[in-house]
Amino acid sequence: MDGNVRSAANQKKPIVADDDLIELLWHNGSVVAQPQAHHRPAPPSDRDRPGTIGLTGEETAAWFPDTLDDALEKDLYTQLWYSTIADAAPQHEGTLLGPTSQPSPPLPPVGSSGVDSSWAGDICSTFCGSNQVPRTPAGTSGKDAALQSEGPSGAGAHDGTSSSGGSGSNYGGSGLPSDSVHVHKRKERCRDDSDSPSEDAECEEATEETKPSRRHGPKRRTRAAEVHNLSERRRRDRINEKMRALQQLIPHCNKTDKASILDETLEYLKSLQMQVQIMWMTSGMAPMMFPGAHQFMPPMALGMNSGCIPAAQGLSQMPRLPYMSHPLPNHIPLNSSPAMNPMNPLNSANQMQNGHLREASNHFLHLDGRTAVVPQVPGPHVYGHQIAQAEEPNSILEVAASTVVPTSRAGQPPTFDGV
Amino acid sequence: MSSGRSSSRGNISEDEINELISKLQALLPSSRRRGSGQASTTKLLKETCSYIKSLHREVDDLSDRLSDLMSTMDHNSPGAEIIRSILRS
Repeated sequence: MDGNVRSAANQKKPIVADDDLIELLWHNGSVVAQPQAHHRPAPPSDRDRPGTIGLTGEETAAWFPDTLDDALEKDLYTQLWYSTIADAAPQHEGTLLGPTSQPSPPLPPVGSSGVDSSWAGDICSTFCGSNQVPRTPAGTSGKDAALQSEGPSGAGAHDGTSSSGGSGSNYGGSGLPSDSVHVHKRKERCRDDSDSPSEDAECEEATEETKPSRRHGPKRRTRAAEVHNLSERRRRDRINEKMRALQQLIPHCNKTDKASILDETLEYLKSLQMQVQIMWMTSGMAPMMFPGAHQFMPPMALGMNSGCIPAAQGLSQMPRLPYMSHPLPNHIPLNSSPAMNPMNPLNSANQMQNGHLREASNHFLHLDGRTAVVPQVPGPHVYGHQIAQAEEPNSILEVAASTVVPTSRAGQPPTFDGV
Repeated sequence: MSSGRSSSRGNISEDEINELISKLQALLPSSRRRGSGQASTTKLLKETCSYIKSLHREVDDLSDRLSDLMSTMDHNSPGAEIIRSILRS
């Protein structure tokens, strides 16, 4: 078995043909195999280059992104690592040991198998450019199984069997014959597996993190589509999050589908706007709401039309409140400039409409003949009286640029007449 | 308000949702200033949330004002009646 591995390795680099542990070092562009006796010699310039086999799996895994930068060496590297993995995997070692038939690795195999799988997976991901690198041990369970199965059997025959044919996993980190053909095969499998949606998310993250983008033309397209999917998904998630927040704000909203939430939001928003409008009017009018105060109609009444208040547009669409958007024609103060003061927060957007109001107020002056209409009915009907009494609906039309005006003209309740 | 939104089959089409969203946009104060071009849904929803919150605050403010006014008024006046009804809603 050692011979198998080594023969493949021999294709590219010199290897000390013995049973000792061998370190395959990548030294200035070429791979040099050194016996384990020189455990971890430090090539001065390549200390940060992955090459020392004596390190743990985590360290080697950390090196992989670096290795990819060197495109020239990649194939060589692939073979190198696969051979080492092939040797190490069945033994469940965290370190990459050279081919050895010793079943008991120096390191405890307990925790290392997961690491092993993970970095074997890492290797595969980086080399394959696969979208499918399940970093989690769960994802590598298949691989683990394959590896595990190989463990007890020792290092023997890890060439084909430990390539996890049974598990179906494409992380043939286990015992791939370090043959270039097999490397390509694994890449193929990676590509195929990249279509499986279950691992897309993880694969995306893996790909984006490790950037193994260079090699696989067809994969780039798939990956672009996957990236798009991912961004689409994120966008949807953001929207859903906002919808949930909206749902929280709306009282008594127990629906969870988009359209219902939007529906209720619309309704609630309109009602809120109307409520605010009413309260503004009321707070302006309140001091005047007693008999004899009709001459001091709050100037803010002029400001209350659908143009001045952003909310009023919504109001004007609500046929059930036809009167709200009209000013009170009966009690128009002579000066309308202070009229807007209470409404300033709401009027900021509609200066032009204010001009219209001032114009219109003059028309109302001669409507003054009527006595004060102390509102008998709370809420929106307060202004119904005045509207009904307006003898110049044209001016009202001019002022209140809303669809409600025709309604009020046409549908004046007869009860209000002559009040 | 016509509710011809859900199709009879029960699934909501994208268009209906977009229509709702554009209606929502029409209500928002920010759409008044600029020409209401297409705003992204996320921004719209966020703005709706903040608008509703600000309306809430406004209602609270006005409620306080009204209740203060109430205290100065004759409780039996019709005006007080109106204010009470408003505060109740």
